[in-house]
Amino acid sequence: MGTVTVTGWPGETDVPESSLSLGRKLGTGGQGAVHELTGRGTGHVYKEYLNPAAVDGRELAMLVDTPKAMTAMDRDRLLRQCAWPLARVVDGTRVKGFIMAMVPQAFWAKQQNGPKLREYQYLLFEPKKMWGDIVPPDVDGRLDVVRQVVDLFRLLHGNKLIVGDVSMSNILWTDNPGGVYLLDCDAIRKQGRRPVMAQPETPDWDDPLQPPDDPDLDTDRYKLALLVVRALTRNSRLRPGEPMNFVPGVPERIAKEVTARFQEAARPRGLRPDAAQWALAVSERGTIDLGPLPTVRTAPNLRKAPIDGAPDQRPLIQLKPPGSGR
Amino acid sequence: MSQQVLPFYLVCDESSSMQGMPIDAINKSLPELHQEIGGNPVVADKTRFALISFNHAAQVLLPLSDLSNVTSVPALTAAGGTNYSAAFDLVRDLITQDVAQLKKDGHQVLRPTIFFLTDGQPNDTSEWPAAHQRLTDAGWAPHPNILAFGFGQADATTIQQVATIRGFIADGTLSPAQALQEFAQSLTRSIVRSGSSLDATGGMSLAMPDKVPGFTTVPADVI
Repeated sequence: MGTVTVTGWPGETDVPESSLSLGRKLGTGGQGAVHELTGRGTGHVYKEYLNPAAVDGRELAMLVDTPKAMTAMDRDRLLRQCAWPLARVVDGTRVKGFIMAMVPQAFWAKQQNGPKLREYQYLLFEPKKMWGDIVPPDVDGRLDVVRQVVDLFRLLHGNKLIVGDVSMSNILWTDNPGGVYLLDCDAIRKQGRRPVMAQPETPDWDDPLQPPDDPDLDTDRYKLALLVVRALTRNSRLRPGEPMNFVPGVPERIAKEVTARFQEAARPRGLRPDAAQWALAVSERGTIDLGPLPTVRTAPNLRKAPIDGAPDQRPLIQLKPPGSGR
Repeated sequence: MSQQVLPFYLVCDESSSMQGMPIDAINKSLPELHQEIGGNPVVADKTRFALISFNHAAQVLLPLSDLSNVTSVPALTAAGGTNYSAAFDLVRDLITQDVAQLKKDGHQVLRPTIFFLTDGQPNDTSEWPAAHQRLTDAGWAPHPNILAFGFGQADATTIQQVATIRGFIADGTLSPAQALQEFAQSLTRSIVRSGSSLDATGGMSLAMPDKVPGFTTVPADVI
């Protein structure tokens, strides 16, 4: 038993499946079914894996423990902005799924056939009547969402957490007030570690230079560039190197810097803008262009003192070999 | 890079035996399917949907469409016999036209998928195998993947013959209306997942429904 988290979860990290009180089945995704929890789990949901045999239970335990090692401020932000795995659900020694917080009400919309998540994809297309009460924000609202996404990635990357499957479906947004929320956090892995289970990729969100084994920090940086620019251009498929048309009203300075960073996102691994650079590019503050840096000074070629002569110019002192007597 | 598009055709039996609950169940499911796909911008962008009904003849109720732009669709009405060859011939002609048009519009077209639904045995027993052969001929580049669903009087062997990937036959544990609701949900899920996930080769794929939890994915070939 641990302490109560910011989401209200009592802090247990392994919960027997038989102890859960299940409510409605909220949906079925590619990897699992999500059930509402009632009773003491109210406000949380259970993601039940469809194929538990494919789950690496140790990696899931590591994700569950990750917030404990974070600073209090980072931990609270992580748990408020991410559907983080709070506890593993087990059946004996088998890991069946995990508990996470229910998506906050602000990230739900009303559509004709019921509630709908306010996915990032609604920022990437011209609005349609079928979207119900999802009305994409104006330019200021878009910039607000983008800044929050960038800040979330700063938080994750600062804690060596890699999202991997960044896409239009697993980030939610709201503009009343502005906020973002990350789903599918069991796909996140610690830098250098394996994911809980093999992760899908999303069409149009692949990194052309992704390492063959797994996405890494550079992959996330490429995808962060796609998140920023696609929302600011309302273009679901834009890639670095293609012509950019910003939504009306993006300040000139931001457009200029975002354009430059976006081109840099296609650079080889290790040279792509990180979240901090994106934060600067989309910041409300202007940046001040500084003068070019002076050339690197080299040491003056002064006359050398005799002691600075090359070693072969010094006389050698012959020493007696060890043990040769006095 | 041109935009990949995955066309889906729902080919639905509306013979007289579909009268009542079955036809009502399908008609009731269409607005839900429309909302689920049309209300999802990426899936609507990457998929197209057509509705074809058949009895002794076949007709296009909804031409291949981006569901986010559709505002109404003609209802299915039960009458007449069950002629598979009329449906297979019509859908072959449609696929030919649709693929050509999509390519002309600059799309990269993935192999079309047919969800075929029937509740009875075909009356045209001697003709339909040849029409099916024309539709599924591997030498015809856009030959579709077919998922066939049977309930009521449909025969498992016939369903297996119609399907090119997987057939489903109602096992009687659900009422026809519930079974058809499940059918419609599996069609919707298949379209949504196909339009929003990549396969191991990095391409968009047909995400097939399965009776057991979990889905098997087959690569949707580029024609």
